[in-house]
Amino acid sequence: MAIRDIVANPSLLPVLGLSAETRDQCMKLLATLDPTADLSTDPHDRALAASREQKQLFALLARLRGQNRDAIVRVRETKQSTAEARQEIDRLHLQLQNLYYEQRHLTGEIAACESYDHKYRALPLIPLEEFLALHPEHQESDEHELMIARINHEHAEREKLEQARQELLKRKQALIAENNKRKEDLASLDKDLERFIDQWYCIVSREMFLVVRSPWGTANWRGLFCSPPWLPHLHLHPSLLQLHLHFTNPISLKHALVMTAKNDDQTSLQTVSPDHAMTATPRLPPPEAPEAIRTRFKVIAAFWAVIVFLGFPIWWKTTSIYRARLPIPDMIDWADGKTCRPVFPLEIRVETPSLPEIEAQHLLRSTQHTLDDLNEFSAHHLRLKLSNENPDQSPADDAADTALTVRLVPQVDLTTPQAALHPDTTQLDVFYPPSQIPPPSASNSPLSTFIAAELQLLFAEEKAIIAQVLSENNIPSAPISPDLAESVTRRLRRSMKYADTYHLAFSLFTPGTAPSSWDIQGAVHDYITPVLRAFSPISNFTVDTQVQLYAGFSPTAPAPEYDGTHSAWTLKKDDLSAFINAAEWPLSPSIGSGPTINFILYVPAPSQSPLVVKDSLATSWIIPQWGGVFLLNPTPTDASEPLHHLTKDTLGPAFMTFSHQLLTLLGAPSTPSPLPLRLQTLTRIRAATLLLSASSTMGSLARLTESLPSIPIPATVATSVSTTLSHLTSACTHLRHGQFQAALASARVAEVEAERSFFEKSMVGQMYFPDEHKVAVYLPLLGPVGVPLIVGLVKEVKKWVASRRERRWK
Amino acid sequence: MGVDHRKAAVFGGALALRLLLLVLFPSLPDLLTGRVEVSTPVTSFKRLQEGLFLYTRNVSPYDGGVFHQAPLLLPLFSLLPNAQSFPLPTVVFYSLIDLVNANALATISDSGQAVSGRFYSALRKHIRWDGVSIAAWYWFLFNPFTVATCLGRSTGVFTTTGILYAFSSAVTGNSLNAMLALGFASYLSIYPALLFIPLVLLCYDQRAQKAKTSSGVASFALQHFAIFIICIAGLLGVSTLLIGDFYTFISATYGFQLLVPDLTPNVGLWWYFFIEIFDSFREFFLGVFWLHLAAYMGGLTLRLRRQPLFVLTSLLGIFAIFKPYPSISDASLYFALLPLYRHLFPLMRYTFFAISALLYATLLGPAFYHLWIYAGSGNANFFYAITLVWSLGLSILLADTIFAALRDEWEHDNPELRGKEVRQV
Repeated sequence: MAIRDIVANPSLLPVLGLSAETRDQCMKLLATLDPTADLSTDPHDRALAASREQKQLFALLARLRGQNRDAIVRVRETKQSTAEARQEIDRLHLQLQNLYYEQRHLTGEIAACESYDHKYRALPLIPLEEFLALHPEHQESDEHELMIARINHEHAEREKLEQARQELLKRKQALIAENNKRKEDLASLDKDLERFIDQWYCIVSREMFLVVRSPWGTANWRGLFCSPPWLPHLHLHPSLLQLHLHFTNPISLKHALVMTAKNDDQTSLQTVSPDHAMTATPRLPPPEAPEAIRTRFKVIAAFWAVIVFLGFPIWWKTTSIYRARLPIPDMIDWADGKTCRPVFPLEIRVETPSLPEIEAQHLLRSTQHTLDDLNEFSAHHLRLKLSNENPDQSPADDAADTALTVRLVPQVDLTTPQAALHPDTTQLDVFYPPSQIPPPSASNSPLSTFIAAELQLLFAEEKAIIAQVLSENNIPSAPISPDLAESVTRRLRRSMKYADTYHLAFSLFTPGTAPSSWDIQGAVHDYITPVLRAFSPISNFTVDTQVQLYAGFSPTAPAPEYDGTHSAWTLKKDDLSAFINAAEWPLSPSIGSGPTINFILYVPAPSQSPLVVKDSLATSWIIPQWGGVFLLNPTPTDASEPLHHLTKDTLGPAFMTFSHQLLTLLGAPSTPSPLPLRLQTLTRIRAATLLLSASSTMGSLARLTESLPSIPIPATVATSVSTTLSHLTSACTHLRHGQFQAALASARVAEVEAERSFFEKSMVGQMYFPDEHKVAVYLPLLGPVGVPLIVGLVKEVKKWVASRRERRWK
Repeated sequence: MGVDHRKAAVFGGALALRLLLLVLFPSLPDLLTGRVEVSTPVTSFKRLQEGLFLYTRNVSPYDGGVFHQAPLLLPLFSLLPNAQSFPLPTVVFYSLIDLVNANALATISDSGQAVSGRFYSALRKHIRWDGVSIAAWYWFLFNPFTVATCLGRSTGVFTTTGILYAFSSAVTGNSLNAMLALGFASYLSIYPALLFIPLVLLCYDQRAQKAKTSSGVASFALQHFAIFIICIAGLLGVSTLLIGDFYTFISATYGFQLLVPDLTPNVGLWWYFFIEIFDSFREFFLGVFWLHLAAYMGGLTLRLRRQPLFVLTSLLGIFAIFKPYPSISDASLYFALLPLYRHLFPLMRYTFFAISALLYATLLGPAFYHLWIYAGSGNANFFYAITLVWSLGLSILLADTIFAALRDEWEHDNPELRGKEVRQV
């Protein structure tokens, strides 16, 4: 398709012609430059011709560009004019649309107007012919005027009718009034008639009375007229009565008697004076006599008097919950630790037999300074005291609360001081070179530092335990090192919870028949009783023993393995928890009120002997908060023949272990090693524990009392609480004065009483009896009884109020 | 004299009936003694025997925790031969007590106090059974309830005697004897003390009717209250001499009757209720039940002030329903006094229903008790339902007679409306 076919605009044709010419020129130039065309011609000529051709081509191109520019300008102009024309067309189109809308709206309006339904069309007008007949003058008028005339006519007619209606209404009212008046007259007549009949009955004989059984005098009348007997008032027109009587007179013999009576009435009816008839009223029960009203009031008052004066006191007395008054603020103060901050002033006696008074005093003072500097825990502090020279002046009770006696012994051949604890008393011997006695001028000395450090070390564990106990009860205490705290926690977790009474159960278990007896009495007496006696201020103990033969391991427990290297049967450490065959071994969880501490002596069968714990080769272990186990392996010499009786000597190591386990289970600290010191420490710890536990029980009781207002509080609880509080106070005082034995005794009483008051049985019963149940208890009986009483009371009160108001109006 | 002949014949017949029953059925007294309908814990003859046994052996009769009756019965019964080996004397004694009661009843009936008192005389006076002894023998001596009580040898008959003699003395104007008899009855079982106020009013009306110069009601009542208290105090004093320990016997007898610790089934309403009640409400409901029993006294006395004997009768009916340990002997006492009001019967509306309910309960009660206790095929609810029916029957009867009495009074006040229908408002 050639471009000429597309471009038809005459203004562009020169451009096209020119461009064609230019192309030809280009072709010519190319031909001239073609190297293959003519090699014979002179290259110079060819170059000349080419440059000429080129010039011509440039001229052509310049023209072509000019024409091209002209063409583009023309295109722009054309576009401009096209846009303008188009705008004009759009405007016109819009106008046309508006006009169209206007037309449609007007058409709609016209249609609405044409179809409007006016009221007058609905009017039930008289037909046109009739109207024209009535008003011939409208014969000529057009439709519109005719309609108006017709409507006016209708209006006038209606007004006339309305007037007539009003008149009729008035007449009706008058008639009704008249009717009522007549009715009243009738009623009074009826009344007179009745009275007459009554009197007539009185006159007529008793048989007549029996015949006319129905109590209402008019009942027979009603029966005759076949009206329903429940109608309270029946008004008869005298003439009607007359008429009916005439009809009924001959009906039956039975009625005849009555009829005669009524005929008599009839005669008397006519003689009743009109004014008498007017005053009679419709039938009502006779008004109550004032006397009857008074009687009723008295009856109701009598019932209510019983309820108010006897019923309510009984209700109050029998259902009120007895709540003894508790010293709630005091109890809460105790629980919050506001009343008592437990302190542990430990008294340490220093004996300096070889030192003069002055020097001893000075040494003491400097040691105390050092101690105070070392101590971070203010509640637990050591107080040094110089011992009295004459021993007979220190009585026993004073000595009992002395935590430690430090005895300073000079020893010449020493260079540094040394300390040694007596294993069975509370005495610490300090040996020192005499040269280290601090001169009075010196503020510090190696000896006093040494003593202070030694003492601090001795009581470190106790301090940690007490700090732990206090911090458990949210009482601020000294920070303790984490590893020490952990060991303390572990010990506390292992030991039994404090109880007033512990039951010790020693059991001998063996898988076979031997041994079948043991010298338990002697063993307990030798090894356990001394410990128990030492513990007697802290707790009470009972001892039970048993021997169980054929006590095998439980089937689920892993069997012991033979270890060739130690030539022994071994139990894995992890399996020790399964060692106790709880299902079959008769280990009662608790005997009586207190917890039971079990000690198990296990004698393995000869085929599995010796039995030890793997790796550590130990033969005993503690089960935390439960008891201890000891594996008694018979000595190799008598392993060949079974051991039938365990002597005291054989039992010795086992019971030694048991006594140690008992100490641990009871919570005694591991250091310091002498038993008296450990016991003293335990005394202090227990006193603190019990004091805090009783205090927190008091707090719980106080909170319980306050949060449950419906629980009863018996007097015994109040007594227990006051006992607890007084013993807590005395325990606290004793603690402050360093009398730990007395403090423990008081704290034990306080704890027992606190537990008793908190777990009082009668307090719990009411708790499960919510108020909704009370409704269910009261309503079934008291509801039916109460309703008539209350209704009676309300009626009387209403009547009284009404009469008062009436009197005031008057 | 003809009247006396008939009375003698009736009394002889009643005695003969009882003896005949004993001879024909020798085990009947023991059977009846064991029935819960006849013997309650406070009237049981068996328990009396137990107390008697202890008493004759010089042990406190209340030690066993079984005997809860007044101590004065003990010397009385220790005079009789052992009831186990010689049942006849005891039965004769009880029959004689019955005759004495019947005599008192005849006296009450003869006085005509039931139909016309000081303020009031009934309209249908002529409708009555002739008071000589007909009432006694139709309704009392030959009433199966009375016969059963007699043969069951319940000690409740002594209370009945006290009450009936109090009434008969009151209607004959012997107010001192009335107070003494009431004191005796109250001493035996507490509840007759509630009859004191209407009884004093009855005595006062009698005196006022005869003497015409009456002192004030209050002083009269106070005087008689003093007599009543002195009588009870005297009896208590003698009892204390007999037993020795005042508090033991008070708590074992009156404490027992007031606090109702023994919940053996009986025909009353208390036992089941107190078995079921929550323990913490027991005291409260004891109070409620006793107050309920006592509350009627004031209201009825005020409302029926003109007929004190009727108040007394109705109160006995209320006691027969609502007292803690009722038995059929209480019902029989009420039934004995009801025929005095023969003239009210035409005014009663639900006689048929009440009598059917009572008969139904009487016949089915023992059967259901047997089902529950012996056969084991029923439970406690069976018997309790029957006691409910029994109480319902008695309540209907009671309410109906009270309605009839009020109706009668109303007609008396409004003669012009006599014989007309009334509606309760």
